Amino acid sequence: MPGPTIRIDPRAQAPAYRQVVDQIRTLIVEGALGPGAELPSVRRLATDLGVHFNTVAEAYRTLAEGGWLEVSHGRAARVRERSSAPKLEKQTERRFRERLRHLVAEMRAEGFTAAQIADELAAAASHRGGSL
Amino acid sequence: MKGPATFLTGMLLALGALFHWLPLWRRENQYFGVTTPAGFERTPEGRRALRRFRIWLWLGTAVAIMLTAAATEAGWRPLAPAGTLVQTITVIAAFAVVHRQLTPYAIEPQPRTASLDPDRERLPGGLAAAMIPVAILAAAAIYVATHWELLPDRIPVHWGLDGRPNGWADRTPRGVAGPLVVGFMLWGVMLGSAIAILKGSPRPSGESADWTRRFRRANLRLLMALVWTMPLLFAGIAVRPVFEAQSITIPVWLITVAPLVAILAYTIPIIRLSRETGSGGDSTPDRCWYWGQFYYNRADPALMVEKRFGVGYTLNFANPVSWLFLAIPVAVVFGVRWLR
Repeated sequence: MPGPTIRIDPRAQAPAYRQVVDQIRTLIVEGALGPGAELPSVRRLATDLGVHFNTVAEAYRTLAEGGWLEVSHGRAARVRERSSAPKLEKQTERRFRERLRHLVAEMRAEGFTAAQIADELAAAASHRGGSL
Repeated sequence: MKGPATFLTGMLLALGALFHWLPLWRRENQYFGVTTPAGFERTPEGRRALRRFRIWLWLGTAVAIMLTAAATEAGWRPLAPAGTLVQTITVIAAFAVVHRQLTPYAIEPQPRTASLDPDRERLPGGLAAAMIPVAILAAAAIYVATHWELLPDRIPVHWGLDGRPNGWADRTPRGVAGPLVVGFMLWGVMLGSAIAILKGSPRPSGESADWTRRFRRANLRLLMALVWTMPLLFAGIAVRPVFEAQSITIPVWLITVAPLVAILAYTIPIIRLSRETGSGGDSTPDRCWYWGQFYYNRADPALMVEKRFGVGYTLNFANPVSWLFLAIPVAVVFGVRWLR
């Protein structure tokens, strides 16, 4: 069975490396990529996505710094085991609340109802997988 | 008409027939090198584009045939193959013109997707098995060296359409080893191309992953068939004079027909795939396809991508390694001349 995939949208505002980071992190959080799962090499993923090697290398480095991946020279990048969720700080909570406010406003502007937004958020939140 | 002219005319007509159909052998969302909606070839614009291309193709082929016939009649034999050049240039130019005319109908290519599975794809038959043809070439070299006294003074290395030799090499180490060295170089080119596709082209992913996987395997199988048959062909040419001296005849047609059968047998599945629906687009940006045929994308680290004109893979000319790939055939041609 084919494994998870990611895609680069050239029209998106986020830079390519950020798109790679966000999508891999989402797949880890949702459990599609379990602890110990091996990822393709930087060269392989860059060739598949049609982006510069540095873009993927930077994405892997960012994910490693965030504690999501284990990256060592000469070995395949692997998803790191996360024994428990990090302690949530007030500042982080505020930052995410602010981002959610903007996102909800954008959705309302696009025509979503409050009930639809609540459903979407609940569905997204329930995807939380076993790796966390 | 004289023999060579008849042959060249037949070849031009056969190539004309091939080019006649070639624009239709492609992914469903690609037409004359432009990313278009599926079924675009059935729209009035699509039909008109194909008609225009074919008119230019056959006009160019007619000119090429006339040039070949005139050159042969006038005794300018070196000019006779120029017909092939005229036909090729016409086809490239006609494709480029139609490509430009269809650009306004282009749609945005699908975003490129990538599987997060580790790379476990292998060459059909494995890399170790691909070394066996080299062992066959080495065995042929040892066999010829140990039967040196049986070799004639002049060794046939090239044959005409009638099956008679028309090219010879002297009985020197360089002359005798020539076919084996050429076989080895072609083995390297074919294996290198297969590895370049395997490691240097995007892996199947996204909506048309299944089609891409089958297309990729079919191309790799064709190249691996050549990895085997080319060294066998040249090993056959190298040992043939020794066999003949012992009254064992290897028919020339057998040596040449075997690779042709292999090429045909492995090309037909690729053509069939190119006619299937559901193959989508190749997700490379249209703006990086010059004349709809040459891919040049600095942002794409891929060495090989699927062709947009013709079936198979082509180089990303923005990748510096691609120039090395182009240098290899030139080295083979010069190598052959040097060995003569």
